Formats: sequence, C-alpha cells, structure tokens
Amino acid sequence: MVKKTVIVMAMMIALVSPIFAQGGQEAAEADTVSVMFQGGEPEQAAVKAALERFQEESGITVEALYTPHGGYNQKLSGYINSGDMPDIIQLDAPYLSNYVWSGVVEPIADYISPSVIADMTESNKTQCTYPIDNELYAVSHQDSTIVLYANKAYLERVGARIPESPDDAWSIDEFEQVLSDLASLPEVMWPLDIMNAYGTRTEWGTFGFSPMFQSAGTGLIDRNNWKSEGVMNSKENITFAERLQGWAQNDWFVPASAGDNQFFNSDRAAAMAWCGHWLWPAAEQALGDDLVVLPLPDFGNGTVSPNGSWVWAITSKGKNKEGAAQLLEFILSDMDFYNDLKALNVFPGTKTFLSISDVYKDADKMAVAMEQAAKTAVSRPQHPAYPTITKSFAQAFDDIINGGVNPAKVLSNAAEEIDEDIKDNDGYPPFGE
Amino acid sequence: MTQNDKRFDRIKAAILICIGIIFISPLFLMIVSSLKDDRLQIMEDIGSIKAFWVSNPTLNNFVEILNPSSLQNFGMYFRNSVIILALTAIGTIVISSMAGYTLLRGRMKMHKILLPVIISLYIIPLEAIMLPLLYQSIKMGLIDTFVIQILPFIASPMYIFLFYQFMKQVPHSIGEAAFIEGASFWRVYKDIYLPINTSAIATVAILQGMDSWNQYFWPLLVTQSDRVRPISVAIASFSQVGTIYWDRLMAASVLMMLPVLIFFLIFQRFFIASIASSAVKG
Amino acid sequence: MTTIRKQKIQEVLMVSPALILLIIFLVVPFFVSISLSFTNQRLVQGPVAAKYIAFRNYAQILGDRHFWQAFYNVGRFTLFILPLQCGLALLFASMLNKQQVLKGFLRSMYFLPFITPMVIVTVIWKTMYQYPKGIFNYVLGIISGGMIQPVEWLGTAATAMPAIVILSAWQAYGFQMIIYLGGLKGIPDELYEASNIDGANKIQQFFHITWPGLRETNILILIITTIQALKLFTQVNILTQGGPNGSTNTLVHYIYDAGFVGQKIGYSSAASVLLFVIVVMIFLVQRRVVEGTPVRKTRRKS
Repeated sequence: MVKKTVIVMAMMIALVSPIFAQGGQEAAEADTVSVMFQGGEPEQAAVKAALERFQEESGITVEALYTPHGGYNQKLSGYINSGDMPDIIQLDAPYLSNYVWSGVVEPIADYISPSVIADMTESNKTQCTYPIDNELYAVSHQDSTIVLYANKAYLERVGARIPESPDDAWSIDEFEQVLSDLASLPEVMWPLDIMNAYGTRTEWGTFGFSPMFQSAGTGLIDRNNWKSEGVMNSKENITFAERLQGWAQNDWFVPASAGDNQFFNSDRAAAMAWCGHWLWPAAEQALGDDLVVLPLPDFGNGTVSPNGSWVWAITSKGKNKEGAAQLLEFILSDMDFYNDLKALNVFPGTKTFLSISDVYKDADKMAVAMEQAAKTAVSRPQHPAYPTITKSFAQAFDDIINGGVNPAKVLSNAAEEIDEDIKDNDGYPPFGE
Repeated sequence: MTQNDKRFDRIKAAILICIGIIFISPLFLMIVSSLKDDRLQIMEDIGSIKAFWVSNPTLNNFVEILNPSSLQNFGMYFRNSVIILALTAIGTIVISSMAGYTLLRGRMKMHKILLPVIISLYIIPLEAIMLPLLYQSIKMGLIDTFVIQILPFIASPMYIFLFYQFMKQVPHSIGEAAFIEGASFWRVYKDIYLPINTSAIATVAILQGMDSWNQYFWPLLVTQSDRVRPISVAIASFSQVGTIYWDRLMAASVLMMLPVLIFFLIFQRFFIASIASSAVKG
Repeated sequence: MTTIRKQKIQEVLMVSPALILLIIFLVVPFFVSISLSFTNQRLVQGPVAAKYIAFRNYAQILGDRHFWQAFYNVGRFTLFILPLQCGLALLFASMLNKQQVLKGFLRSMYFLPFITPMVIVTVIWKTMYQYPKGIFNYVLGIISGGMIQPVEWLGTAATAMPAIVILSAWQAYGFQMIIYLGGLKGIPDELYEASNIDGANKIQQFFHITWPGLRETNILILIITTIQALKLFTQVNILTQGGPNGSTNTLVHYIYDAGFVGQKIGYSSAASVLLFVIVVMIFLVQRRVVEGTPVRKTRRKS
C-alpha cells in the first residue's frame, strides 16, 4: 500500500511540473497583447486564426484567452480589481454601458484610425457608443439579427402568404393563423422553434424576444426617464404576453429538451424557426429550396428586430494599448478573417465585410435580413442597469412561456426588480440626471 | 457453506450482474457515444436501443478534443484539473496532518481551546460562504488563478479532525520515548506520526482527490480564461450553450472519467473504506 | 534556547498554516457575508458607493416567492430522494451482504455510479431525458405499447424535480450502500439464527431484526441526505438553471443567481446567512432527535 501511494504521489508531482515551467513564459510584457474572447465554435476558431496571423505579421505576441459563453459577462467584471486585466476584451454590446459606467473600458477613437471606424455600419457604431458622452468605446466586425425561417412546403400546404419585406410582414393575427394552421398538419409536431434549447433565461431570452414586446407593446423600460414600472407591465405588454402564453400552452413551440435541430433535422418536426442569422447555413444545407426566410411579424407597432453583437474594447487597465489598437485595426481589415466569417454566415458589421457577403445581397437568400436590420432594428436598452434589465426580463419571459405563470404578475415583478436596482445605485449617475 | 448455499450464491450473483448492467448502462452509453462521429447521429440513436451500439467506432472525437490547437483544448483542461488536484491533496495532507498532530500532542494550553473551535467551524457550509468569498477573492485580485482554486480547500476542519482521530490511535508512549531520546516535536511528527498513519494519508488523498476532481461550483465562479479552467467546468459549459457537440462532449466525459476509474480499480478497497470512514468520522 | 521554548515555536509554526487558511477562507468570509448582508454592495464596486440598508435585503428575501419556492424545493428533493436512494442502497446492500461469489467485482460494479463525477452524470442523463426521442421515452413507449405519450422530463414543472432526483439517487446510492453494508455487518448473526429456529420468514426478520438494527445507520443517512439536499447545485445549474417556472430552484442556486448572475452580493450574502441559519437549525434538531431517543436494543423475537 505504501509503495502504491508513493508511486501515485510521484506521478502527481510529475504531472504538476508544467505549472512551474508555465510561470516563466509570462515574463515578456512589452510586446504582448492579451485578448479575451468568447463564443461558440467554429466562429471563434476564425478569430483565433486571425490572431495568429496578426502575431506573425506584427511580431507582437498575442495571448489568446478563450472563454466559453457561460457566465462570461458576470465574470468579466471580476477582473476590474485584478492586476491581470487583459488588454482587449470582447463583450456583449448591450453590456457596454455597464462596463463604461464601471470604468472597465476606455474611449477607443483616439487609438483606432478613422478609416477603420468609418468602415463600420451605422448600427454597429451605435452599439459601440456610450449614450452619455456619445464616444465610441468599442469596435466590431459583426452585427446580428433575427429572422423567421420557414419550411416553404408546409407554408404552401396551409396556403400562407409569404411576405418578402418587413413592409409587408405578417400581422399578429396572420401569424397566429399560420401557427394554428401549421399545427394541424400531421407531420408538424410544433409550428415554431423559438430555440428554447439555447436557454430562455440567458441573453437569448432578451435578444430573441424583447423585440416582440417592442413591436406589440412598450418594450422593457422607458428610455428617457429609465423607469420600468408601467412600461414593462403596460397594458399592451400584458395583453401580448397573455396571447404569447396561449401559443405556448397550445404546444406550438419546440421545448428545450427537444434540442435545437427540430427545424432542419430529418424529421422536419418544426415548421418554422425564430432564430438568428447564424442558422442559415445549416438550414439551407438541410432544406435546400424548401427554405424561405421571412421578416419578423408586425405585432402592432411595425416589425421590430434586434441587433447588437460581440464587440471589442480596450480595457482601461490594459498594459499595451497601442498594441491592442494595432491588433483591432488588423482584424477589422483582414480579408482572410472576413472570408472565414463569410463561410459561417456572420452578419456583417463593416462595409468591407458586407461587400463580400453575397448571401446577404441575394433576394433568394438573406437579403430580407439585411433590409430588416436597416429598417427595423432597435437596440437593447443602453443603460448600466442592463445586467438587471436582461436578467429580469429573461426570467419573466421564461415564466410566461415555460412556466404558465400569470403574465401580469411576472412582468410587474420584473419592472419592480429593475426599478429597485436603479434606485439602489442612485439612478446610476449621470444617467437619470 | 453447504452445497445448496453455494448454488443460491451463484444464482444471486447472476441476478446481481444483470441488474448491475442495467444500473451502469449510462456509463456504457457514454463510452459508446464517444466513439460515434456525428453529433446528430448520437441524438438520433438516443431514442432507441442503438444508443448502446456503435457500428463503426472511431477515435476521432478524442483526437479532436486533445488537439492542442483546437479551440477547446481538453488536454489542457485535464492538466489543469490534475494540477489543482495534486496540489490540493498534497497541501491538505501536509497542513491538516501538522495541525491535527499539534492539536493532539502539543503542550500549549491554546490547543485545548482551538480543537473545539476548529471542529465547530465544520458547520459552516462552504456553499454558504462561496459568494462572499468570491467578493473577497475579487478584492484580493486572485480571480482566474490556480491559487484561488486550491488554497480555500487545503485547511479543512474535517480533515484536521480526521488526522487528529487517526493519530490518537498511535500509543502516546512511542512519541514520548522518542522525545526523551531528544527528538524534537517536529521530528516526532515527521518520523513517527506521519509515516505510521499511511491509511489516514490515503483516506485524505482519496476523499480530497475526488472532491477536487469533481469541484464545479467554485471554479465556475472564479475561472474565466481557459489556461486555469478545470475539466469539470469545461464540460459543463460545453453542454450548455446553443448547439451541443455531443460527440466531443461524450469523449471529454470519458476523458474525465478515465483517471477516476483507473484509480478506483487499483485502490478499490481503499476507496470504499475511505468513503465509509468519511461518513462516520466526518 | 530551552527545549520547551523550541517546542512551543514548532507548535505554533505547525498549527498556524491551517489556522491562517481557515481564518482567511472560512472565518473572514463568514463575517464578511454577515456585514455585507446589511448593505446593497455589488459584486464589483461601481462609481456609486454601497450603502448600509439595515434589514432591507432580509425583508426582500423573505418576501420573495422564489426564495420560498427554493426552500420548498429543497424539502421536496429530500422527501423524494430519501426513500428512493435508501431503498436502492438497502436493497443492494442486503443482497451483497452475504454474497461470496464475485464479492469484490459486484461491490465495485454497484459502487461505480458514485465515483462518476456529477458533471458527467448530468451530461449523460441529459441525453437520456431527451424529448421526444430519448432512452426513457423509448422505454416508456415499449412498456406502454405506445399508449403513453413521450414525456418532456426536464421541461415540465411536474417532472423536472423528480428527474433530477432520479439521477441524483443513481449517482449517490453507492455511498449509502457502503454505509448500510457496514450497518448490516453490525447486526449479530445469532439474531437471525434464533429467529430461524422460531420459524420467522425473511420479511418478518427484516422488520424485526434488520430494520431496528439499522437505526443508527438510518439516522446517519438522514443527516447526510438532508445536507446533500441543502447543497444541491451542480445538477440544477447544468440541467435546468432552476426552471421551468422555478420548480427546480434550490437555495444554493438562489444565492448564486442573486450574487453571481445578478451581481448583488449584499443580497446574496443575506441569503447565504439565511442558509447558514437553516443548516444550524437542522443540525440542532437532528442532534436533539439523536440524543433524545435512546437507541432501542434489538429484541429477540419471543
């Protein structure tokens, strides 16, 4: 027994030795840029490849700190007090205001050349701007949107009208009728996949479904006086939420445990999918000519679509700001990078990127998504209380869809939580002043 | 044992094996799925008996997750977990045994007070201090390091007390004799008490090793970049976000299970004995 | 330097590493959580300073339906898992107790789930619970001859907690089984032999000898299971994040949600303090029960 224990200990120590070797490598600092990025594969593999190209061309060592999605936004803020803050962080655009307010990131315009900034699309620039001082605090190569993917064969069988632009999008009644008709087809198990599998209590909940409430009612919060009471739980929002809950209770939505592929797997059990631009390649490959891309329905006040994506910011505690800026300029103008992203159907955030993104220009493909983004995009609330706003809304949405809880009650709860948080922080000055 | 009893025993063994196979079938499922190449195939198969069968096994998933240039480098997560486990176990053994020994054989009066104080600390559930500890770790600038994944666990009231109890069984006279011959307090610990208590060391190594390997809540809070992320958190986050790559996820699970299984098969009796003693002594 | 003085120095040096670590990582956070619980401190300090807000956090938590739901869920988990886990453990322990053929192999086999890390258990069971096509729905379909519709195990408020209970019981019964094996060993063989002579059957033996003989073991298991339920987090966090409709939310997950996801460390600390109070209360009640009732001697059946 003793012998065995000794052997095991020796093995452990042998395995541990890399920890000490690793310590030495981190010494070089001046010519190193550390980048923290996140996300699902294979998109981030493209980022990694671009970082490697930059390293090769510039001679600056890149320390790539890859992090998966879960809890990314929460943990990032933990870095503020750590001496080890990366030079560049990738962050989710709606959280930007919170980071700026907390002093994590710096204005970026002085570091990045104007031509690179000018290349960014308007919606992209807006998501990177802090509304208080109208300064740019981040840059990005991408943006996002959500469209309604549909199986044309099913739509034709129920005789649904196929809208071609957000101007003639389905009305809420039309949408409800289509859902109900599709539900009656024997092959269709669920008329719509709202990607419950992504987790509706995550950012997907707010990104995916706050536009519904913007279109049908009053959105999440008053963007002038930053009060949620009476807005989140307005009469219009509650009426819509009750209708939405009815759809969920009819089993019209694919449940979370059925996975994210019911629209395009061999069963074709879901007739439509409410999903981001990223679904297109998989859906196209599986459905071929049966795939049709529709604008989001008009739930009352005209179609509203989401925007905003992951953006790059330079941290205020970073050690190598010039190197960081050089890196960002590089990836925002790297054609190889754009080509990699194009293959993944990333939504272009720069004019250069858009110029090579054929899918988004083809009327038979995703052109409607581009048109919709230009005409109907509304960003998520740009306010330092966003972490609470999104948490409360996503929770309420999840309760409405999956919990069958009284919509008026959960929306009021969410409003109360948000107002409470803003009050706790004295209104997040200078907001609300 | 009569002839009849033996036959009964054999029949019972056969029945137990049959039930046992059903009980450990989820583990077969994991291994079989890790040998399938396509995530959609796995999802398709899971709805039928095909879940337990693979027609053309491949090790591709393992090659992919262990490829150092892949985005999710499970080789590194595995290594991180090993580092954390080894340092936690060694640290716990050294620090807790020294404390247990001193509290038992020390001459200072304060030990008499310290012992019940330390034991009473056991009632604070780690889960109830983890969020405040996270706040504290952020203040100390220790987020996203190995240190913060190791230090909070190596002084544990449970293991200090466990060493205390094991060492109590060592006859006082042995230590006294050495002491009279001029050995120092430290030497008596190092040369007599520690070597004699290999079973306590093995128990703590196994219990703390399993704890550390399975650790999820705390590293979920304090790790951010992948250079310090343990394999448990990597697997969990791999299984939560959007599209789930079941093929590689199953391979990663096998990878995480493998060392546990190997250690268990080698030290079977010790595993079971340690765990039984953790219930009684803890 | 005198030997006594030298020894004292050594004693201090040997006990202080443990003391310092315990203070930094256990005692200080404990007091930090108490003091934070009276403030509206955020996890990461922003430009607005935290304020003393007296008992507002506590008032809010005690008025929050999600907190009470989490509390209720922990109780529900305990009630569900106790009979299942202990039943399995006791069943296998009594079958393995006198087993001679393949003794070691069988014990290891039944112990295997316990050494499987919880993260892996949840990953595997997540696939098995899949809807509509998953292994459980497949078996359900075969048994019922297609009569029972597939169940959305993790997605329905009614079944999500039982689903988590089943996988947790599967993972942990091996531990209980080992404790029961120890308990069974402690029951003298003579008792069974004597009752055999008296003509008692197996069932009578179980209720008159085995069950009373396992009294102390059962108390131990009750304590361990209750604490296990109070700390429930990993399974819930990976599989359901507390949903659907809070039906699987637990106290630890509530603390995590407030402090980590919501970044309100003051609020989260107040919930932590409440968790601590609950643990201490349960501990005291259990001690009273254990000490209050004398261990009944197993009686020979007359």
